[in-house]
Amino acid sequence: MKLERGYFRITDLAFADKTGLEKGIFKVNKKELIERLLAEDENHLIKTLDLEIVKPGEDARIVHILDTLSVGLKIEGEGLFMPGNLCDPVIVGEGKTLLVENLAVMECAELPWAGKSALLYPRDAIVDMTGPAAGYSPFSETFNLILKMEMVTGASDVEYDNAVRSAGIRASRYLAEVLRALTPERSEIFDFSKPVDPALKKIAYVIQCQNQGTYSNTFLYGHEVSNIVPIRLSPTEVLDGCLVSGNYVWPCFKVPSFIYSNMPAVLELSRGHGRDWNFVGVVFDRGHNNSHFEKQRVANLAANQTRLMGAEGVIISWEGGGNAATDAMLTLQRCEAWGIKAVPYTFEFGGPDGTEGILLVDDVPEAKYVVSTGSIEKPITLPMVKRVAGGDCLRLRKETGGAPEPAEVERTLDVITALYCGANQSGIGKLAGVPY
Amino acid sequence: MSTMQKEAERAGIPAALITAIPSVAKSVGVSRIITGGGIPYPAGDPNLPADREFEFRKRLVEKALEAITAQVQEPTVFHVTLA
Repeated sequence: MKLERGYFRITDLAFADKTGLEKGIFKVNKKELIERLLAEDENHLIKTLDLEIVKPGEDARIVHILDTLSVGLKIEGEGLFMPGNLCDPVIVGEGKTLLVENLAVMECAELPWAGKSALLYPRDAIVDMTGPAAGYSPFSETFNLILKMEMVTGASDVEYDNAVRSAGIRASRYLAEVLRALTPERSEIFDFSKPVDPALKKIAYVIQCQNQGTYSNTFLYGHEVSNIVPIRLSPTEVLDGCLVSGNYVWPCFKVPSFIYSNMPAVLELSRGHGRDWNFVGVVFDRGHNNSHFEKQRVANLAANQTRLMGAEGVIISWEGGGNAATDAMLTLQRCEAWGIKAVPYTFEFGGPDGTEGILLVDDVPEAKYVVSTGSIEKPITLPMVKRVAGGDCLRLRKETGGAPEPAEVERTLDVITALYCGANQSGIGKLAGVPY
Repeated sequence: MSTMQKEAERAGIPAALITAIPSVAKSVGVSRIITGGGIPYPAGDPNLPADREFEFRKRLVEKALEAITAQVQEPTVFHVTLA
Protein backbone atom coordinates (compact mmCIF):
# COMPACT_ATOMS: atom_id res chain seq x y z
CA MET A 1 0.00 0.00 0.00
CA LYS A 2 1.09 3.59 -0.65
CA LEU A 3 -0.19 6.58 1.28
CA GLU A 4 0.72 10.23 1.02
CA ARG A 5 -0.02 12.40 4.05
CA GLY A 6 -0.23 16.16 3.49
CA TYR A 7 0.09 18.31 6.59
CA PHE A 8 -1.18 21.71 7.62
CA ARG A 9 0.10 23.41 10.77
CA ILE A 10 -2.04 26.17 12.23
CA THR A 11 -0.92 29.22 14.18
CA ASP A 12 -4.33 30.01 15.66
CA LEU A 13 -7.88 28.72 16.13
CA ALA A 14 -10.77 31.18 16.35
CA PHE A 15 -14.54 31.45 16.04
CA ALA A 16 -15.70 33.41 12.99
CA ASP A 17 -18.64 33.89 10.60
CA LYS A 18 -17.30 31.39 8.10
CA THR A 19 -15.45 28.11 8.66
CA GLY A 20 -12.13 27.99 6.83
CA LEU A 21 -8.37 27.92 7.00
CA GLU A 22 -6.57 31.06 5.92
CA LYS A 23 -3.02 32.27 6.61
CA GLY A 24 -2.56 29.60 9.25
CA ILE A 25 -5.67 30.58 11.19
CA PHE A 26 -8.38 27.93 11.46
CA LYS A 27 -11.73 29.67 11.77
CA VAL A 28 -14.89 27.92 12.91
CA ASN A 29 -18.49 29.05 12.52
CA LYS A 30 -19.58 28.10 15.99
CA LYS A 31 -23.33 28.45 15.44
CA GLU A 32 -23.32 26.40 12.24
CA LEU A 33 -21.32 23.55 13.78
CA ILE A 34 -23.41 23.42 16.97
CA GLU A 35 -26.64 23.39 14.95
CA ARG A 36 -25.33 20.65 12.70
CA LEU A 37 -24.14 18.42 15.55
CA LEU A 38 -27.43 18.76 17.41
CA ALA A 39 -29.48 18.16 14.25
CA GLU A 40 -27.48 15.01 13.45
CA ASP A 41 -27.76 13.67 17.01
CA GLU A 42 -30.57 11.40 15.85
CA ASN A 43 -31.73 10.18 19.26
CA HIS A 44 -31.53 13.63 20.89
CA LEU A 45 -29.19 12.46 23.63
CA ILE A 46 -27.12 15.64 23.73
CA LYS A 47 -29.10 18.09 25.88
CA THR A 48 -26.74 21.02 25.43
CA LEU A 49 -23.61 21.47 23.36
CA ASP A 50 -21.15 24.33 23.53
CA LEU A 51 -17.88 24.76 21.65
CA GLU A 52 -14.79 26.06 23.38
CA ILE A 53 -11.30 26.84 22.12
CA VAL A 54 -8.25 26.11 24.23
CA LYS A 55 -4.80 27.03 22.96
CA PRO A 56 -1.23 25.97 23.78
CA GLY A 57 0.30 27.97 26.61
CA GLU A 58 -3.05 29.19 27.92
CA ASP A 59 -3.58 29.30 31.67
CA ALA A 60 -6.32 26.70 31.31
CA ARG A 61 -7.34 23.21 32.40
CA ILE A 62 -9.48 20.89 30.30
CA VAL A 63 -11.63 18.36 32.19
CA HIS A 64 -14.10 15.54 31.41
CA ILE A 65 -12.16 14.52 28.27
CA LEU A 66 -13.56 11.36 26.68
CA ASP A 67 -11.82 11.08 23.31
CA THR A 68 -9.71 13.34 21.10
CA LEU A 69 -9.73 13.12 17.31
CA SER A 70 -7.58 14.25 14.41
CA VAL A 71 -8.94 16.41 11.63
CA GLY A 72 -8.21 14.38 8.52
CA LEU A 73 -9.61 14.16 4.99
CA LYS A 74 -9.00 11.55 2.34
CA ILE A 75 -8.79 13.21 -1.07
CA GLU A 76 -7.49 10.22 -3.04
CA GLY A 77 -7.99 6.50 -2.52
CA GLU A 78 -10.95 4.56 -1.22
CA GLY A 79 -12.85 5.26 1.96
CA LEU A 80 -13.10 8.10 4.45
CA PHE A 81 -10.69 9.02 7.24
CA MET A 82 -11.90 6.98 10.24
CA PRO A 83 -13.65 4.42 8.01
CA GLY A 84 -16.65 2.45 9.25
CA ASN A 85 -17.68 5.28 11.55
CA LEU A 86 -20.91 6.84 10.23
CA CYS A 87 -19.86 5.49 6.81
CA ASP A 88 -19.11 2.18 5.10
CA PRO A 89 -16.20 0.10 6.45
CA VAL A 90 -14.14 0.58 3.28
CA ILE A 91 -10.49 -0.48 3.58
CA VAL A 92 -8.30 2.63 3.71
CA GLY A 93 -4.55 3.20 3.58
CA GLU A 94 -4.11 4.02 -0.12
CA GLY A 95 -4.00 7.37 -1.88
CA LYS A 96 -3.73 10.75 -0.20
CA THR A 97 -4.89 12.11 3.14
CA LEU A 98 -4.75 15.70 4.39
CA LEU A 99 -4.37 16.44 8.09
CA VAL A 100 -4.09 19.44 10.39
CA GLU A 101 -1.31 18.18 12.60
CA ASN A 102 -1.84 20.47 15.60
CA LEU A 103 -5.64 20.73 15.69
CA ALA A 104 -7.61 18.36 17.93
CA VAL A 105 -11.33 17.80 18.46
CA MET A 106 -12.14 16.86 22.04
CA GLU A 107 -15.32 15.21 23.27
CA CYS A 108 -16.02 16.31 26.84
CA ALA A 109 -19.02 15.22 28.92
CA GLU A 110 -20.00 13.73 32.26
CA LEU A 111 -21.17 10.20 31.60
CA PRO A 112 -22.97 8.20 34.32
CA TRP A 113 -21.00 6.58 37.14
CA ALA A 114 -23.90 4.88 38.90
CA GLY A 115 -23.90 1.10 38.69
CA LYS A 116 -20.40 0.89 37.20
CA SER A 117 -17.65 -1.40 38.45
CA ALA A 118 -14.93 0.08 40.64
CA LEU A 119 -12.47 -0.02 37.75
CA LEU A 120 -14.26 0.54 34.48
CA TYR A 121 -16.20 3.79 34.58
CA PRO A 122 -15.81 7.05 32.63
CA ARG A 123 -13.14 8.74 34.71
CA ASP A 124 -12.32 12.41 34.67
CA ALA A 125 -9.38 13.08 32.36
CA ILE A 126 -7.37 16.28 32.77
CA VAL A 127 -5.11 18.31 30.49
CA ASP A 128 -3.27 21.36 31.84
CA MET A 129 -2.19 23.65 29.00
CA THR A 130 0.65 25.16 31.03
CA GLY A 131 2.50 24.49 34.28
CA PRO A 132 4.01 21.32 35.75
CA ALA A 133 1.38 18.90 34.38
CA ALA A 134 1.36 20.21 30.80
CA GLY A 135 4.16 17.91 29.68
CA TYR A 136 2.14 14.82 30.59
CA SER A 137 -0.20 15.28 27.63
CA PRO A 138 0.49 15.84 23.94
CA PHE A 139 -2.72 17.89 23.88
CA SER A 140 -1.12 20.76 25.80
CA GLU A 141 0.59 21.51 22.49
CA THR A 142 -2.41 21.30 20.16
CA PHE A 143 -5.15 23.80 19.40
CA ASN A 144 -8.18 22.12 20.92
CA LEU A 145 -11.77 22.53 19.79
CA ILE A 146 -13.82 21.25 22.67
CA LEU A 147 -17.30 19.79 22.36
CA LYS A 148 -18.66 20.50 25.82
CA MET A 149 -21.73 18.29 26.04
CA GLU A 150 -24.42 17.76 28.61
CA MET A 151 -26.35 14.55 28.07
CA VAL A 152 -30.04 13.89 28.70
CA THR A 153 -30.75 11.45 31.52
CA GLY A 154 -32.16 7.94 31.24
CA ALA A 155 -30.32 6.59 28.20
CA SER A 156 -28.13 3.48 28.14
CA ASP A 157 -24.35 3.44 28.23
CA VAL A 158 -24.24 2.14 24.65
CA GLU A 159 -26.39 5.09 23.53
CA TYR A 160 -24.29 7.69 25.37
CA ASP A 161 -21.07 6.23 24.01
CA ASN A 162 -22.45 6.26 20.50
CA ALA A 163 -23.73 9.82 20.80
CA VAL A 164 -20.49 11.39 22.06
CA ARG A 165 -18.28 9.44 19.66
CA SER A 166 -20.49 10.30 16.71
CA ALA A 167 -20.49 13.99 17.64
CA GLY A 168 -16.68 14.01 17.72
CA ILE A 169 -16.40 12.26 14.36
CA ARG A 170 -18.97 14.58 12.79
CA ALA A 171 -17.16 17.67 14.09
CA SER A 172 -13.83 16.34 12.81
CA ARG A 173 -15.35 15.68 9.36
CA TYR A 174 -16.99 19.13 9.26
CA LEU A 175 -13.64 20.83 9.96
CA ALA A 176 -11.71 18.56 7.60
CA GLU A 177 -13.95 19.49 4.67
CA VAL A 178 -12.26 22.93 4.43
CA LEU A 179 -8.97 21.21 3.55
CA ARG A 180 -10.35 19.87 0.26
CA ALA A 181 -9.57 23.04 -1.68
CA LEU A 182 -6.20 23.71 -0.04
CA THR A 183 -2.60 22.70 -0.72
CA PRO A 184 -0.72 21.27 2.28
CA GLU A 185 2.47 22.87 3.52
CA ARG A 186 4.42 19.61 3.49
CA SER A 187 3.82 15.98 2.85
CA GLU A 188 5.40 12.59 3.33
CA ILE A 189 4.93 9.38 1.43
CA PHE A 190 4.71 5.95 3.00
CA ASP A 191 5.27 3.44 0.24
CA PHE A 192 4.88 -0.22 1.14
CA SER A 193 4.26 -1.31 -2.46
CA LYS A 194 7.91 -1.46 -3.57
CA PRO A 195 10.24 -4.36 -2.80
CA VAL A 196 12.96 -3.49 -0.29
CA ASP A 197 16.55 -4.61 0.19
CA PRO A 198 16.31 -8.21 1.50
CA ALA A 199 19.23 -7.53 3.86
CA LEU A 200 17.17 -5.06 5.90
CA LYS A 201 15.89 -6.36 9.24
CA LYS A 202 12.19 -7.14 9.30
CA ILE A 203 10.31 -5.35 12.07
CA ALA A 204 6.64 -5.73 13.09
CA TYR A 205 4.62 -3.68 15.55
CA VAL A 206 1.97 -5.20 17.81
CA ILE A 207 -0.79 -2.82 18.96
CA GLN A 208 -2.80 -4.38 21.78
CA CYS A 209 -5.84 -2.24 22.52
CA GLN A 210 -8.24 -2.17 25.47
CA ASN A 211 -11.76 -3.49 24.88
CA GLN A 212 -13.58 -4.46 28.07
CA GLY A 213 -17.09 -3.26 27.31
CA THR A 214 -18.87 0.02 26.76
CA TYR A 215 -16.76 3.02 27.88
CA SER A 216 -13.56 1.00 27.50
CA ASN A 217 -13.81 -0.16 23.90
CA THR A 218 -11.80 0.34 20.73
CA PHE A 219 -13.43 0.44 17.31
CA LEU A 220 -11.79 -1.19 14.28
CA TYR A 221 -13.49 -0.04 11.08
CA GLY A 222 -16.44 1.10 13.16
CA HIS A 223 -17.00 -1.92 15.38
CA GLU A 224 -15.77 -2.80 18.87
CA VAL A 225 -13.37 -5.72 19.05
CA SER A 226 -14.25 -7.88 22.06
CA ASN A 227 -14.02 -11.09 20.02
CA ILE A 228 -11.12 -10.13 17.77
CA VAL A 229 -8.39 -12.60 16.92
CA PRO A 230 -5.04 -10.90 16.20
CA ILE A 231 -5.02 -9.55 12.66
CA ARG A 232 -2.54 -7.91 10.39
CA LEU A 233 -3.06 -4.30 9.33
CA SER A 234 -1.13 -2.12 6.93
CA PRO A 235 0.59 0.74 8.78
CA THR A 236 -1.21 3.07 6.37
CA GLU A 237 -4.63 1.80 7.49
CA VAL A 238 -3.74 2.78 11.06
CA LEU A 239 -2.56 6.21 9.89
CA ASP A 240 -5.87 6.63 8.01
CA GLY A 241 -7.84 6.22 11.23
CA CYS A 242 -9.09 2.62 11.06
CA LEU A 243 -8.82 2.59 14.88
CA VAL A 244 -11.15 4.89 16.81
CA SER A 245 -11.23 5.01 20.59
CA GLY A 246 -14.31 4.64 22.74
CA ASN A 247 -12.15 4.22 25.83
CA TYR A 248 -13.11 6.58 28.64
CA VAL A 249 -11.65 4.70 31.61
CA TRP A 250 -8.06 5.20 32.93
CA PRO A 251 -7.01 8.59 31.49
CA CYS A 252 -3.25 8.06 31.80
CA PHE A 253 -3.27 4.78 29.84
CA LYS A 254 -5.81 5.32 27.12
CA VAL A 255 -4.88 5.81 23.50
CA PRO A 256 -7.10 8.49 21.94
CA SER A 257 -8.17 8.29 18.29
CA PHE A 258 -5.83 11.24 17.59
CA ILE A 259 -2.84 9.17 18.71
CA TYR A 260 -3.97 6.03 16.86
CA SER A 261 -3.91 7.99 13.58
CA ASN A 262 -0.48 9.41 14.54
CA MET A 263 0.91 6.37 16.35
CA PRO A 264 4.56 7.27 17.04
CA ALA A 265 5.98 3.80 16.40
CA VAL A 266 3.92 3.38 13.22
CA LEU A 267 5.13 6.75 11.91
CA GLU A 268 8.79 6.21 12.79
CA LEU A 269 8.88 2.63 11.52
CA SER A 270 7.14 3.79 8.31
CA ARG A 271 9.62 6.64 7.85
CA GLY A 272 12.58 4.28 8.06
CA HIS A 273 10.95 1.55 5.93
CA GLY A 274 13.14 0.49 3.01
CA ARG A 275 16.08 2.55 4.29
CA ASP A 276 16.86 1.49 7.85
CA TRP A 277 14.67 -1.59 8.14
CA ASN A 278 11.78 -3.45 6.54
CA PHE A 279 8.55 -2.57 8.39
CA VAL A 280 6.52 -5.68 7.67
CA GLY A 281 3.32 -4.38 9.27
CA VAL A 282 1.09 -3.98 12.28
CA VAL A 283 -0.57 -6.77 14.25
CA PHE A 284 -3.67 -5.59 16.08
CA ASP A 285 -5.38 -7.36 18.96
CA ARG A 286 -6.90 -6.70 22.36
CA GLY A 287 -5.63 -7.32 25.88
CA HIS A 288 -7.36 -7.83 29.24
CA ASN A 289 -8.53 -11.25 28.09
CA ASN A 290 -10.36 -12.91 30.95
CA SER A 291 -8.57 -16.16 31.60
CA HIS A 292 -5.01 -17.43 31.41
CA PHE A 293 -6.08 -19.72 28.56
CA GLU A 294 -7.51 -16.82 26.55
CA LYS A 295 -4.43 -14.68 27.22
CA GLN A 296 -2.14 -17.46 25.99
CA ARG A 297 -4.33 -18.04 22.95
CA VAL A 298 -4.33 -14.40 21.86
CA ALA A 299 -0.65 -13.92 22.70
CA ASN A 300 0.33 -17.00 20.70
CA LEU A 301 -1.82 -15.99 17.73
CA ALA A 302 -0.38 -12.45 17.78
CA ALA A 303 3.19 -13.74 17.97
CA ASN A 304 2.42 -16.16 15.15
CA GLN A 305 1.19 -13.30 12.96
CA THR A 306 4.56 -11.59 13.39
CA ARG A 307 6.32 -14.88 12.61
CA LEU A 308 4.23 -15.40 9.46
CA MET A 309 5.19 -11.84 8.43
CA GLY A 310 8.83 -12.89 8.73
CA ALA A 311 9.56 -10.47 11.57
CA GLU A 312 12.98 -10.61 13.19
CA GLY A 313 12.13 -7.87 15.67
CA VAL A 314 8.87 -6.78 17.28
CA ILE A 315 7.76 -3.71 19.20
CA ILE A 316 4.76 -4.24 21.49
CA SER A 317 2.54 -1.59 23.00
CA TRP A 318 -0.60 -2.12 25.00
CA GLU A 319 -3.42 0.09 26.12
CA GLY A 320 -4.67 0.21 29.69
CA GLY A 321 -3.16 -0.91 32.95
CA GLY A 322 -3.56 -4.01 35.06
CA ASN A 323 -3.74 -7.45 33.56
CA ALA A 324 -3.24 -6.26 29.95
CA ALA A 325 0.46 -6.48 30.80
CA THR A 326 0.13 -10.27 30.97
CA ASP A 327 -1.32 -10.60 27.46
CA ALA A 328 1.51 -8.43 26.11
CA MET A 329 4.27 -10.15 28.08
CA LEU A 330 3.05 -13.56 26.91
CA THR A 331 3.17 -12.23 23.33
CA LEU A 332 6.74 -11.08 23.93
CA GLN A 333 7.68 -14.42 25.47
CA ARG A 334 6.31 -16.37 22.52
CA CYS A 335 8.12 -14.11 20.03
CA GLU A 336 11.41 -14.58 21.87
CA ALA A 337 10.87 -18.36 22.01
CA TRP A 338 10.76 -18.29 18.22
CA GLY A 339 13.90 -16.16 18.00
CA ILE A 340 12.10 -12.88 17.32
CA LYS A 341 13.50 -10.07 19.46
CA ALA A 342 10.72 -8.18 21.20
CA VAL A 343 10.61 -4.91 23.16
CA PRO A 344 7.59 -3.48 24.98
CA TYR A 345 6.57 -0.03 26.09
CA THR A 346 5.25 -0.01 29.64
CA PHE A 347 4.37 2.34 32.46
CA GLU A 348 5.84 1.75 35.92
CA PHE A 349 4.65 1.83 39.52
CA GLY A 350 7.43 2.45 42.03
CA GLY A 351 5.89 4.79 44.60
CA PRO A 352 6.79 8.46 44.94
CA ASP A 353 10.53 7.94 44.44
CA GLY A 354 10.20 5.34 41.70
CA THR A 355 11.87 2.41 43.46
CA GLU A 356 9.27 1.00 45.84
CA GLY A 357 7.76 -2.44 45.47
CA ILE A 358 7.18 -4.24 42.22
CA LEU A 359 7.62 -1.91 39.25
CA LEU A 360 5.59 -3.77 36.60
CA VAL A 361 2.20 -5.49 36.74
CA ASP A 362 3.69 -8.55 35.09
CA ASP A 363 6.88 -9.46 33.32
CA VAL A 364 8.68 -12.45 31.89
CA PRO A 365 12.40 -13.31 32.01
CA GLU A 366 12.59 -12.78 28.24
CA ALA A 367 11.70 -9.06 28.64
CA LYS A 368 15.32 -7.99 28.89
CA TYR A 369 14.83 -4.55 27.36
CA VAL A 370 11.84 -2.45 28.29
CA VAL A 371 10.98 1.11 27.28
CA SER A 372 9.44 3.00 30.20
CA THR A 373 6.65 5.50 29.59
CA GLY A 374 6.94 6.82 33.13
CA SER A 375 5.73 6.10 36.63
CA ILE A 376 2.06 6.54 37.49
CA GLU A 377 2.81 6.85 41.21
CA LYS A 378 4.50 10.23 41.27
CA PRO A 379 2.46 12.79 43.20
CA ILE A 380 1.89 16.07 41.40
CA THR A 381 0.44 19.43 42.41
CA LEU A 382 -1.76 21.06 39.82
CA PRO A 383 -1.71 24.85 40.23
CA MET A 384 -4.70 27.17 40.30
CA VAL A 385 -5.74 28.05 36.73
CA LYS A 386 -7.62 30.98 35.28
CA ARG A 387 -9.97 29.04 33.11
CA VAL A 388 -11.58 25.59 33.01
CA ALA A 389 -12.89 24.11 29.77
CA GLY A 390 -14.80 20.92 28.91
CA GLY A 391 -16.86 21.06 32.09
CA ASP A 392 -17.40 23.02 35.27
CA CYS A 393 -16.04 20.64 37.91
CA LEU A 394 -13.89 17.57 38.50
CA ARG A 395 -15.15 14.12 39.42
CA LEU A 396 -12.28 12.25 40.99
CA ARG A 397 -13.73 10.05 43.71
CA LYS A 398 -15.88 7.05 42.93
CA GLU A 399 -16.64 6.51 46.63
CA THR A 400 -18.57 9.79 46.68
CA GLY A 401 -20.49 8.77 43.58
CA GLY A 402 -18.54 11.37 41.67
CA ALA A 403 -19.51 14.39 43.75
CA PRO A 404 -18.40 17.54 41.87
CA GLU A 405 -15.26 19.24 43.15
CA PRO A 406 -13.88 22.60 42.04
CA ALA A 407 -11.70 22.21 38.96
CA GLU A 408 -9.73 25.46 38.87
CA VAL A 409 -8.14 25.26 42.34
CA GLU A 410 -4.68 24.04 43.35
CA ARG A 411 -4.81 20.33 44.02
CA THR A 412 -2.27 17.64 44.82
CA LEU A 413 -2.86 14.30 43.14
CA ASP A 414 -1.21 11.29 44.83
CA VAL A 415 -0.83 9.55 41.48
CA ILE A 416 -0.97 10.78 37.89
CA THR A 417 -3.71 8.45 36.65
CA ALA A 418 -6.13 11.35 35.97
CA LEU A 419 -3.68 13.10 33.63
CA TYR A 420 -4.77 12.42 30.06
CA CYS A 421 -2.12 10.24 28.29
CA GLY A 422 0.20 10.74 31.31
CA ALA A 423 1.81 7.30 31.05
CA ASN A 424 0.27 5.70 28.02
CA GLN A 425 2.16 2.99 26.21
CA SER A 426 1.74 4.33 22.67
CA GLY A 427 5.18 5.92 22.99
CA ILE A 428 3.90 9.47 22.76
CA GLY A 429 5.10 11.83 25.45
CA LYS A 430 7.84 14.13 26.62
CA LEU A 431 8.98 12.40 29.78
CA ALA A 432 12.65 11.47 29.91
CA GLY A 433 14.72 9.44 32.32
CA VAL A 434 17.78 10.98 33.95
CA PRO A 435 20.51 9.18 35.88
CA TYR A 436 20.89 10.20 39.51
CA MET B 1 -4.26 -11.47 47.28
CA SER B 2 -0.71 -12.56 46.52
CA THR B 3 0.54 -10.70 49.60
CA MET B 4 -2.12 -12.37 51.77
CA GLN B 5 -1.00 -15.79 50.57
CA LYS B 6 2.65 -14.97 51.26
CA GLU B 7 1.93 -13.57 54.73
CA ALA B 8 -0.12 -16.67 55.66
CA GLU B 9 2.75 -18.90 54.58
CA ARG B 10 5.21 -16.77 56.55
CA ALA B 11 3.06 -17.31 59.64
CA GLY B 12 3.36 -21.05 59.07
CA ILE B 13 -0.11 -21.59 57.57
CA PRO B 14 0.03 -23.30 54.16
CA ALA B 15 -2.06 -21.28 51.70
CA ALA B 16 -2.96 -21.60 48.02
CA LEU B 17 -4.04 -18.80 45.69
CA ILE B 18 -6.74 -19.40 43.06
CA THR B 19 -6.08 -16.78 40.39
CA ALA B 20 -6.79 -16.11 36.73
CA ILE B 21 -3.29 -14.71 36.19
CA PRO B 22 -0.80 -17.31 37.45
CA SER B 23 2.10 -15.45 35.80
CA VAL B 24 1.65 -12.44 38.08
CA ALA B 25 1.35 -14.65 41.18
CA LYS B 26 4.47 -16.51 40.11
CA SER B 27 6.52 -13.36 39.57
CA VAL B 28 5.65 -11.98 43.01
CA GLY B 29 6.61 -15.28 44.62
CA VAL B 30 3.34 -16.98 45.57
CA SER B 31 4.29 -20.56 46.41
CA ARG B 32 1.05 -22.45 45.61
CA ILE B 33 -0.92 -21.19 42.64
CA ILE B 34 -4.10 -22.64 41.13
CA THR B 35 -5.11 -21.40 37.67
CA GLY B 36 -8.73 -20.30 38.12
CA GLY B 37 -11.55 -19.46 35.75
CA GLY B 38 -11.26 -15.80 34.68
CA ILE B 39 -10.37 -12.40 36.08
CA PRO B 40 -13.98 -11.47 36.91
CA TYR B 41 -14.60 -15.00 38.26
CA PRO B 42 -11.38 -16.67 39.50
CA ALA B 43 -13.14 -19.40 41.48
CA GLY B 44 -15.65 -20.43 38.82
CA ASP B 45 -16.81 -19.94 35.26
CA PRO B 46 -20.36 -18.63 34.70
CA ASN B 47 -20.10 -19.50 31.00
CA LEU B 48 -20.48 -23.16 31.92
CA PRO B 49 -23.88 -24.77 32.54
CA ALA B 50 -24.62 -24.83 36.28
CA ASP B 51 -23.85 -28.52 36.87
CA ARG B 52 -20.55 -28.33 35.02
CA GLU B 53 -19.58 -25.12 36.80
CA PHE B 54 -20.26 -26.84 40.12
CA GLU B 55 -17.91 -29.64 39.09
CA PHE B 56 -15.27 -27.12 37.97
CA ARG B 57 -15.48 -25.24 41.27
CA LYS B 58 -15.21 -28.51 43.17
CA ARG B 59 -12.08 -29.41 41.22
CA LEU B 60 -10.56 -25.98 41.95
CA VAL B 61 -11.09 -26.44 45.68
CA GLU B 62 -9.82 -30.03 45.62
CA LYS B 63 -6.72 -28.89 43.71
CA ALA B 64 -6.20 -26.11 46.27
CA LEU B 65 -6.36 -28.67 49.08
CA GLU B 66 -3.86 -30.81 47.21
CA ALA B 67 -1.61 -27.74 46.81
CA ILE B 68 -1.54 -26.88 50.51
CA THR B 69 -0.53 -30.41 51.39
CA ALA B 70 2.16 -30.65 48.70
CA GLN B 71 5.86 -29.98 49.27
CA VAL B 72 6.83 -26.97 47.14
CA GLN B 73 10.31 -25.47 46.85
CA GLU B 74 9.46 -22.57 44.52
CA PRO B 75 6.36 -20.89 43.02
CA THR B 76 4.38 -23.80 41.62
CA VAL B 77 1.33 -23.65 39.37
CA PHE B 78 -1.35 -26.35 39.71
CA HIS B 79 -3.74 -26.74 36.76
CA VAL B 80 -7.35 -27.86 36.79
CA THR B 81 -9.10 -29.15 33.69
CA LEU B 82 -12.53 -27.73 32.82
CA ALA B 83 -15.29 -30.07 33.89
